[in-house]
Amino acid sequence: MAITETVKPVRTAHVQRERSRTKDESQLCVSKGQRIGLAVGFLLIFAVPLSVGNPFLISLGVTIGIYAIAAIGLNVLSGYAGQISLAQSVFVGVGAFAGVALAGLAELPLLVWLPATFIIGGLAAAIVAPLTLRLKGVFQIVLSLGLIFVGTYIFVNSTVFTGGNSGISASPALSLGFMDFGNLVVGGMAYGYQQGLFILVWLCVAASMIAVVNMHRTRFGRSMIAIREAETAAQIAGINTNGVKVKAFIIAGAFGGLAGGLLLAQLRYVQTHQFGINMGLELLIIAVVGGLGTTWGPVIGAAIISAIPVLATQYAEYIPFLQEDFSQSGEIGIPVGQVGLLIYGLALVLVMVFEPRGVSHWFKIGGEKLRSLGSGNRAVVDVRKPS
Amino acid sequence: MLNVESLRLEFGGVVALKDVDFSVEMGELFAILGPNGAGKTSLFNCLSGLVKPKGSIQVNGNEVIGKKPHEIADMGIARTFQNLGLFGSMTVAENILVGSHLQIQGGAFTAAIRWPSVFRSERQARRNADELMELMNLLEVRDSVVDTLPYGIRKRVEIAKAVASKPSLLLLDEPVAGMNHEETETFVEYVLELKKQLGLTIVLIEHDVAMVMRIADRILALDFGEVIGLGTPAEIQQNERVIAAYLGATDESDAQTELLMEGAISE
Repeated sequence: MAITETVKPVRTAHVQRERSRTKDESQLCVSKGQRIGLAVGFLLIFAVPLSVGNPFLISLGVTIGIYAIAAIGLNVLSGYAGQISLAQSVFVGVGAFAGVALAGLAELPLLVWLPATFIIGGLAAAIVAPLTLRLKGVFQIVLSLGLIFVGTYIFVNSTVFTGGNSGISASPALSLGFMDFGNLVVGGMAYGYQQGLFILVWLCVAASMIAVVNMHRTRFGRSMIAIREAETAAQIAGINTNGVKVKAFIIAGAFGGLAGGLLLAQLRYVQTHQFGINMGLELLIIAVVGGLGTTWGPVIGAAIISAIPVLATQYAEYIPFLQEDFSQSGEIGIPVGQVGLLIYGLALVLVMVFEPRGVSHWFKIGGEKLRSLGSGNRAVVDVRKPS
Repeated sequence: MLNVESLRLEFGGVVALKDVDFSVEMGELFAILGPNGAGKTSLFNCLSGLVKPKGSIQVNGNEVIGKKPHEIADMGIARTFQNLGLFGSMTVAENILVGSHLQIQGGAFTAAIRWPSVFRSERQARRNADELMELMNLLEVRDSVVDTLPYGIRKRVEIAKAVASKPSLLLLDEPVAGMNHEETETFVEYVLELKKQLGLTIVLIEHDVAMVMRIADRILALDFGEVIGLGTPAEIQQNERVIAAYLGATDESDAQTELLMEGAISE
């Protein structure tokens, strides 16, 4: 009887409003603003490379995109499912060398070799997933470290695809038939290789983000977060926790592989030692600094972590205390080659201390402030909610 | 519907459950009573597959022992935890949707490519979750993050999460622990209402003797992993072993317990 008394007042317009909202929550774009944002984003993917002439900036944009894809994969595993891995670089390597084999040696077309790097990355992850997911916490990290060394060993010894220690060159085809990203001609204007690649890479970033948002808003995404929050309770709710963790690992590996394939397309020369502990750490730092378990975290993290060292190197002469080669000038300063390490470390410490939710959280807060400025009465609605 | 036979659970040399036998009928509200360390939660852990005991547990004729927790959930058994089994960073609605995991279709790949049937099933689950929240009077906190809610509401969310899987058997582990009298009363109303509406069979662990005596159809009393009494509240109230185990064996407290239990019955 107490129930009927308390339930009744809730059956009001409030309920109707909530009801109508539930339809949209699994949708890709929850609001009109997001739909516009998505359209603008797609437009930028084409507009930026075609209007920015500076090849250095375009190439930097490509690098950011590639690292973002690898970090999007890692974010699924570490951010949503809560399983930490330093070994994402191994799957980037698997993708890169699969690219060498399929695009370089076999000379397959883009629509074959690029999806293949995605699938092969996922398959490689499927092989090791059952091992790493048996462990938790620190043991998992240690095992992923081991995985890096095993991966490097295998790469170095598969000389046909990897060139051993000396690296290997490949020129993957980037043609879709009607459109060649490697040799882009729009309206009679010919664009550079990196400009075309920029479009391809950022289309992949967009597709990866959309795929992950779709997963996040549905059953699989909730299962991953449930495992991260309380694994036993997730099992009791009927979630096959081992199965979900293995799938998350495979997804991470697949996006890593895709990033590797694109990295090969960018550099056209890859070397086994690129895919070691440094890249593994860098990717994890990207995910953490950007914000674990957020949609934009990997992209924002990649922009910060992979751009700043490159920018610092490029513009070293304008930045105080930064020396290209201070052994000769005799002045005291930070050598340019080590700025990257310094920035990873600094960024990680600052984010951990001041904003463990990652930089993307600032963007979220900023966005919410903008929105509440736009419509003044919305803030009143939020106050009423006991959150 | 639930048959437990010669159930035995050991941790190292410690015997947590010693040859426990009982059965629960369809639609019953079956309570498990016992002092701390009697093996009540261990018994629940056996029922939900978190530990591997010896003996036999059958639900609707299907053996539970040896199955994984998520497989047992799929057999229609849901449970709550003594210290809350919620997902703290998720909203109330999301918690309930995790609870209805088994009712929703779709995996990682089909969701990623926006396969239409996945999203149909998703929308249906959201509608069901809203109905459940309405029943449990949770719509007001629908989009609140669980960690920010008061304890009493979180307990209600956990029940909603458990019944979202449309179970036939619901295991409640000390659902009113830490609640005051008024909160307990409201909570019991919710549980009884849910039981009626969804046709649930409930097994309940509880320390609140008065409450158990009032609402349970039958009671199983445990002490040191052994069954010391099984029967209706009136029978348990007369059982001397239960009285001794629950409040100590001195004559004075015996009298007090009987008073307490009689008071509960007549209430």
